[in-house]
Amino acid sequence: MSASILAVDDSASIRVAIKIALSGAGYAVSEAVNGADGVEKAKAGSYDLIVTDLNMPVMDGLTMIEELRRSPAHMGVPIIFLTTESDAALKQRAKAAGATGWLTKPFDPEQLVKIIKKVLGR
Amino acid sequence: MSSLDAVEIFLVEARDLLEQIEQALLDLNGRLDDRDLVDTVFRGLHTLKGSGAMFGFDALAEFTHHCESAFDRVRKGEVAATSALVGAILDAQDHMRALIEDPKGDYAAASQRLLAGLNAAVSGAAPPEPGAAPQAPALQVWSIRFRLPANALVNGVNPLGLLNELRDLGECRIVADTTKIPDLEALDPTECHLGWDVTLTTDQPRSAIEDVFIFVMDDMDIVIETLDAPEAVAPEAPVVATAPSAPAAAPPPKPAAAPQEVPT
Repeated sequence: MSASILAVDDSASIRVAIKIALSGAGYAVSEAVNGADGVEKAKAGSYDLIVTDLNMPVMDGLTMIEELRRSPAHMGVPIIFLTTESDAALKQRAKAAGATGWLTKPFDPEQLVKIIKKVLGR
Repeated sequence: MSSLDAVEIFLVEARDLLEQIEQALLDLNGRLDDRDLVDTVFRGLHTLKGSGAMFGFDALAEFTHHCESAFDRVRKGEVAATSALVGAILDAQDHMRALIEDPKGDYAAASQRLLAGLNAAVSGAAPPEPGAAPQAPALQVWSIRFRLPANALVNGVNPLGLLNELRDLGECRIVADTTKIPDLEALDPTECHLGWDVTLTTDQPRSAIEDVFIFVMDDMDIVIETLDAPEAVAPEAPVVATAPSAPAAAPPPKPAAAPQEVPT
């Protein structure tokens, strides 16, 4: 069975880009439009991995990650964040919040698939 | 972030990439055997192609794909880097800039002409001389001792995935270090109490080993050291001390009361 991935981003074009890249690699992709929507969908469903933007309205990605990590059901679920800022401080904040890894935008679809395979351990 | 913002970010990064590619090409023209520069050009073209496709710059992606393929052949040692080839990519790079700045323009004829020049340059580039061919890197034995951050499992890090990635690099001998597993009463099942001691024989560089740990490298204990040549590897060499048996948060391949070897 293919792994199930939740893509959280307020940009429709980025969600589409993620969906195209990951669907092509055989993953099942669901979408959420901000952090709050991400928390709701993650708790309502069962996902093997979450890909999220950090800067989003309503609830940002850092807050979403912190909230999910407080839920025993979401401890251990890999969370990859997408960022346009490659500075170490932001990575540290996201890692401290409980993120597993990151990818800098604009990303190469092959890179995204490679990182997801890496994080899922194939 | 709106999709417009995303395209603007792409445009900024694409312009930067083109500058990096151009600089690397100019440098390469003076040092045609510099493999780092060849890699830099290839990576730049690869990223430009991927990002272009992602943000709807299809003509750019398609055109850049041809240039990337040509440079991939140089990278693999199938053709030599020549001034003609570097010149052809420099010409192509100006064309890529136009495809970025005005993607709706009619560039079919220009694309065709430039690709013909590129193909001619690739065809004229003889395979590298035997002496200049990339040598198969020598096998090196590495000792990799690592212990993940305590919260690694909660944060979605899969230790078995990391070990599998090391296995992909070469022949591995993996021993779990169970010495830090606390007594059952004190054990927090969400924390990672195991460490690993890996002896890896590989032709890959140190950076390939470090890449395995890219997301945790800053927060973990890790020591990567070279050992002797492959024939000097002692198959029975003890690596870690025996530890009392106890359940572990990150399951080793077999129940652990002693160091375990996982041959590949």
